[in-house]
Amino acid sequence: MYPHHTLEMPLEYRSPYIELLLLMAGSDGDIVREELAVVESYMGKLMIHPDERAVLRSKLESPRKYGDIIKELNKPLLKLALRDSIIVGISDGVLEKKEIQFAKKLAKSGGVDEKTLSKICDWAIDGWNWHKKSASILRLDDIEIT
Amino acid sequence: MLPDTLHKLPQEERFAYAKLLAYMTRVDNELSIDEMAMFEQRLGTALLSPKQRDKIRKALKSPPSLEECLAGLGEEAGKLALRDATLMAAADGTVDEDELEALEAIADHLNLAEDAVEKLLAWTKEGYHWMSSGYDLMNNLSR
Repeated sequence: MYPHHTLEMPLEYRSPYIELLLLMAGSDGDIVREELAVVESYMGKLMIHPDERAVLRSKLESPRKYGDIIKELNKPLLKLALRDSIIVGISDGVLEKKEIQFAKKLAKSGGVDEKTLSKICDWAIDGWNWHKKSASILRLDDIEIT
Repeated sequence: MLPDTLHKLPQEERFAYAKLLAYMTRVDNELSIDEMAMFEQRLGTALLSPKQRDKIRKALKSPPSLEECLAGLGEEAGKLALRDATLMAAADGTVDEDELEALEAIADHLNLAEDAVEKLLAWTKEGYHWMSSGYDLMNNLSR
């Protein structure tokens, strides 16, 4: 069973979880502000201590190896990280080729097949479209996803 | 949570936005863990400096008045704050009368349409369904 709320995630899993999101953000070699904002929002949501957040931010420059990170997470959490890393990936409006490659790698580690990965991407795009609706309610600028 | 234009606003606008959310957390004199998580999540999205985050967390203990919060908000930051205040108010599953009154006061200050809060509440409900479907998707993966 997956934790229904991310706050139920045991403390020791939270940092490696964020490290995976950071790896997704950096997978295309360029971390944009949108991706950073989403990773920061997950650090907030998981209520990671401010000191630990500083340590995690430093891993943008010197990330740990993918293999070392995934060893610290179980399969259900790898699947959850896959879902949230896709949210990070689409946050700038485009899921780049290298981001798709990273998602596929993470899906493999979590035992998720390509068909299911595609469903997760569809779910993320649904969320993007839902979020966009608020801009029209409030008459704010629109953002397109490609 | 998905991104928006919040991180593009000037830092002082983002700070004012966060102050309004701090105000909202205390409207019903209860701060549930869900509201706190949503609040921290939004602080993260706002990309505030660690010092500003400290100040905002202190504001949770003695929140500024609504008038004070609204005075520092520009139009876009105000609209985003209203949207996220709605999400936060609904984070524990219910929006009580005091919270609704505060949301209406913010919408009124921003000269929004009369049904703006109603529409945002419907939008919020839709979003929680989407989030819930994300959990369902994950649960089905574990079978």
